[in-house]
Amino acid sequence: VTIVRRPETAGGPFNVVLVDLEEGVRIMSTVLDRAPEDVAIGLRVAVEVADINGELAPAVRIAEERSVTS
Amino acid sequence: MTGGLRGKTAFVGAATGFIEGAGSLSALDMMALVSKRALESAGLGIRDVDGLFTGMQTEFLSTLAFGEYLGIRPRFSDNNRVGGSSFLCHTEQAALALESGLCDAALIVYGSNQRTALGKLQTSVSGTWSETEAPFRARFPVSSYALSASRHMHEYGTTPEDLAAVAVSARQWARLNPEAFARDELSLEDVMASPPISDPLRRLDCCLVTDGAAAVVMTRSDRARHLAKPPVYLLGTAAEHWHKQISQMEDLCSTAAVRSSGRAYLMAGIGPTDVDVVELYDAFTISTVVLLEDLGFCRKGEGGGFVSGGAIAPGGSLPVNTNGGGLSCCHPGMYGLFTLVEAIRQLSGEAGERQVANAEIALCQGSGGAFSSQVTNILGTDAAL
Repeated sequence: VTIVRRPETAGGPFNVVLVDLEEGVRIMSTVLDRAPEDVAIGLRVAVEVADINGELAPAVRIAEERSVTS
Repeated sequence: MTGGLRGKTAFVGAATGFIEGAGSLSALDMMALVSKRALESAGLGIRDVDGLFTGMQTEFLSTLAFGEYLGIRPRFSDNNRVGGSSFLCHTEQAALALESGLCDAALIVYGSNQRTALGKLQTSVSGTWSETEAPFRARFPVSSYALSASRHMHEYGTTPEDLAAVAVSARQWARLNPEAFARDELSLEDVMASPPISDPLRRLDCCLVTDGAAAVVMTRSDRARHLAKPPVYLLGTAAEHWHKQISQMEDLCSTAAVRSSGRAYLMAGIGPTDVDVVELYDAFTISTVVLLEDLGFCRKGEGGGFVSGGAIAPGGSLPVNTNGGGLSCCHPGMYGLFTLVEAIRQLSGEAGERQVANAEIALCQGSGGAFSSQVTNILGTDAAL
């Protein structure tokens, strides 16, 4: 987990994470539904394709049952 | 077999320059000037060079560009690109080439005017983030190391203060080095108060952006003994790389330095407790913590406590980055070659106020990419041979 710092005028800080998928690969991603400072290692998340900075990419949301560790 | 290159070749000259600023000089200009200085300190000249090793940020065909600039016709050259660790690979290549008679005098050189020309890190890495990483717009390269640091904290309880202690130790050494770029006093509180860039790394957890150039000269040991200064021998060398991108790093807290140092120790016939001085590539404070563990100076997970206990600062049990490192001495885009020059100075007794008493064996660790490429060089004096 890292919080990338960015001026508020440019959108403010955002999180970038590495996620270990149950399928056995690790991807870079971002947690969509948590404030950057609330993203912690060990959360279980589920992947969804989202528009990230104008590109379709695998983002994640906090999940109770599906997937992984971040 | 593994001892094959031990002591067969030696460093006979070394020089640095332009850390304070490139002025109007290009990278090639600076490289030529430090090369001349390194060769002169060995009692050699530009015309003696028949093995050329470099890897510039701005010239893809680096050895061709620099050979042309010098007006020489090298019969062996290598433009290895494993990031900032390239120059420690060059010594291995040079040792092989020298030992087999493919060349007789090897010049390894690097220079960059990035601070003057760009005011920021100049990188030769193409596609700094991979296609799958790019959309998330992390900051290159700091976010990669931040991800490693964050994992190290989670796994082993390493603290931001532990990381800050690395920056403070580096600065204490730099204050003893007239050539170091950053020499103002620096406290733990100063580091902790510096703004976060990519958490958990703060501005003062990151290496400097400077200009600078460095060069070293190698020959076979039999010839080295007849040159101007007592030789510093290459006792052990090994390289290994495990990934390129941070998202492909298997264990974010463990690097290929485990393997490169293991083989280099074996070749040199020594272990970590025999090392008098360590010069490692500290691109970020977490680099020092992780690499000290991987090199066997403390156990995995204990690096934070090791550095915050003062072990690596002046007066500590293990002198690390005695020139101030990338954090406080210089970081002209790629720092690897500066670890070698500082080790050679320490083993030659030329390190002035920061001289480590009775230094006979030095370990240099090059790290390239996002902890991707790891290269270990072990150097020793005649007494260590």
